[in-house]
Amino acid sequence: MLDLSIWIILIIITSSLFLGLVAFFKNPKNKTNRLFLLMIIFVVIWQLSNFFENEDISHNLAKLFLRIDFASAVFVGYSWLMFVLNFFQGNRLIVKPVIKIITFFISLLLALLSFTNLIIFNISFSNGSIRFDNGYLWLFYALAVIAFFVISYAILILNLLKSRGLMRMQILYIFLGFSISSIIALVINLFLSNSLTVDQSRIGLYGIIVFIICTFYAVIKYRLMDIRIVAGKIISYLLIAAFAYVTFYAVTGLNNSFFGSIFTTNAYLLGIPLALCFSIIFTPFQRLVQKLTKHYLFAGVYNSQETLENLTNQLTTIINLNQVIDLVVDTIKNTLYLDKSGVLLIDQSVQPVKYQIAKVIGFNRQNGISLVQNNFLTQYLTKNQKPLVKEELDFLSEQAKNENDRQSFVTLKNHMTKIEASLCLPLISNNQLIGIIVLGDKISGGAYSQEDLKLLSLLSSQASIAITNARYYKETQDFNKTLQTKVDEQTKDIQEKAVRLEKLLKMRSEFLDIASHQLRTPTSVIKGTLSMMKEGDLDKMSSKEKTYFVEGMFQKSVKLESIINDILVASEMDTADFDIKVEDEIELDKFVEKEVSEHQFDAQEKNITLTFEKLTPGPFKIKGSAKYLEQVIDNLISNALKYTLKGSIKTTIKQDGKDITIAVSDTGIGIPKDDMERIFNKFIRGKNARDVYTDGSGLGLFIIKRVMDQHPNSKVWVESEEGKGSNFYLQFPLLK
Amino acid sequence: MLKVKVLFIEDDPDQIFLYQTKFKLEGYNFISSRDGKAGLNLAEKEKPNLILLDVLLGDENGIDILKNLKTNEKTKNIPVIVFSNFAKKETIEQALTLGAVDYIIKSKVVPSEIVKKVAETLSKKYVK
Repeated sequence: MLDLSIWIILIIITSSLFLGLVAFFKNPKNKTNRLFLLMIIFVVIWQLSNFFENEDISHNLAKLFLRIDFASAVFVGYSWLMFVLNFFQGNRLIVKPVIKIITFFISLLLALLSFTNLIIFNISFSNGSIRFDNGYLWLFYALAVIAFFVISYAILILNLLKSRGLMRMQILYIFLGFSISSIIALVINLFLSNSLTVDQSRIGLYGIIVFIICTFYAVIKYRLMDIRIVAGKIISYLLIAAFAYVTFYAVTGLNNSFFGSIFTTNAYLLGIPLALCFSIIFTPFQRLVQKLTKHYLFAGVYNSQETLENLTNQLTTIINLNQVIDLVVDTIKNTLYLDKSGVLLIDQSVQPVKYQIAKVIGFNRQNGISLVQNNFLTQYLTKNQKPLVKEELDFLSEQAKNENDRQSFVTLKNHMTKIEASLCLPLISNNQLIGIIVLGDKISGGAYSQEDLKLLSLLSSQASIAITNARYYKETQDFNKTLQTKVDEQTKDIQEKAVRLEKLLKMRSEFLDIASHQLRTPTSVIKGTLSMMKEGDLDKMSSKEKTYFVEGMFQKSVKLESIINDILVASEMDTADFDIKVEDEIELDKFVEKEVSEHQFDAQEKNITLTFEKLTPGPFKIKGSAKYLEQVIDNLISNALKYTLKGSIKTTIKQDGKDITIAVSDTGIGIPKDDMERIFNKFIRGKNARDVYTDGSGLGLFIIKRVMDQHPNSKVWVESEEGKGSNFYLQFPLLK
Repeated sequence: MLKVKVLFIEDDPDQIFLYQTKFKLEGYNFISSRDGKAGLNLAEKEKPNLILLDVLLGDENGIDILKNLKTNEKTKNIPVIVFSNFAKKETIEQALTLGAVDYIIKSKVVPSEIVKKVAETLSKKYVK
């Protein structure tokens, strides 16, 4: 039977090969993975030759194996160095191909020289183990191999110090594993092999286990080379196989002890229920194993299918843009355990393109906008509608077709590094970029795996749809709001107009009530008198009464005419937009003089003195409305005549600085103090007016006031004492 | 026979003269007052058979006078005809609600017609 050492070696070799093959088949195209396999192959060759050189075989074969041992060791060093270089590719470790070629040739040379006596010679055997002496180039050889390892350690250490999170852990474990293994191997096999026993010197071999375990741990825990899931699956298969194996031997053992052999009838019969039990237990056990491996190895691995389903379900129920964004950002952040995530929305329909931060967690707001500042990222994502990982940017910049692009990629990478973003996901709708999901690093430090990216791509397409819908909805809502505001405005406008109209109508109605009364008053007297005449009542009256009657009726008819006129004028003036043209150039003195002379006859009839006097020399030029001012002065003088029973009416005109003042002073009944305030209002007459003149319309002063209001910088006012008389004043600005 | 006494509360003397002439020709005892307050006193004192009441009495409002007449024990049973040229609907409604027998627009009737109306109103009353 093979002894223990062989089993151990077999296991080590198998696991090394296993590791290498898994790494390779996971990603055959990836140079890193290929180099890893290459290195593993050389390690295996070395292990085998190292093992067999000390085995009980022919001396020549053993010698051959020793030489192969040395040759393969060089290539282990070389391939390990290449692996390390490639692992950190892009971190300013672009080694000129020339150097790589030189290194290769050195390795090749040394390997070939291993078959000469220059490196080792005088190969002998003692105590069951192989011995040798160091040749002339032994030192050179040793230095070269050590150099390979030292350089790779240096690179590892440098990058260990520089990196963070996941990468850091991966590097650490590789470093640890390999350094320990290689130091053990180097020291024992290179320097001490001559002084140790076989078993002792085999420790060098066994040391490889450290490397294997460390790498394996890094694979599982820190996703080294992304082969963890495959590795995990294989572990669970192994466990299940172990279960089957153990069960089989347990059953066989039992059968042998109870029935002597498994081929007895009793054994066959017992086998049936046992087989049934096994098949029933097997599937649950398999699931249990998978669950356990998943739990212990992949604690924190999300179920991407579930996440996607959940998100989709939730997205279909939300139409509010903010809620959609929140959901997307939160889901991604929590599912992938990120420290930062954010969404930028882009409106490409306006020029210049408008960016807006929809939501950020962990990022500085300004940083988000700076990312899209120069449009490069936008253009890139629009063209290649897939996630952009920061780590890719070096590769992309190398592949860039022109200097501009290259620079842009480098800038973008620097930017992303600065703001600590590691992934940009495009949100595409209608072939246009509507937004970018920006993600930071995972809290665990891990890298984004292919699965992660696949999930994120699906999430972002769902999100794009939901965001587009939410945006449309928001637009509609905003539009509705605007519409509603406009409608409200219009409604308010209409309501205001309606209220104004109502007020106007009320005023109109009031005006008509009184105007109709004013018109009816003289009419009823005329009508009444005529009817009495018809009925022959006039004959029953005395001649004095008769005369009085007829005179009264005549006066009423005259009055009717003047009331109609007043009402028409007042009605015109009553509207809010009463606007007369004040464009005539009037010589006021002549104006007033004319009016005074026209009323002279009436004055004489009542035995009242009516005079006109210029108190200052002219001229008295003003600008106003000749038509209406005629009425004003006529009204004033008429009023004076109406309400003066005896005495005089004095009209004067004078210049007062910049103004011209006209005064009409009478010795009439005056205006009672109580009525002074309202005397210019519509239909208002002094309390004492009716006694003297019954039919005033109450509109005379109202008309005067309205006309004066229409003349700029002009006014009318009155001074009066009841029983003594009144003085009415008109003031106009002098026209230069 | 005692003449029927009619009180006319009206501020326009020309109007008073017109109707006074007619009513006198028809054999009525026609008294008048040119303001509301004096009219109320006259109503109390003279106890006319009917009152003709104008609305626009200078400062006073005929409706207030009407209210007064109808709440005063001494005058509330005297029939009142509001006789005015003021035709606002609300005023007419108010007067009738307050108990005026009728509201007649002066310019719509001639003096003989108002005399007839007065006679009718008084006869109705007596029949009642």
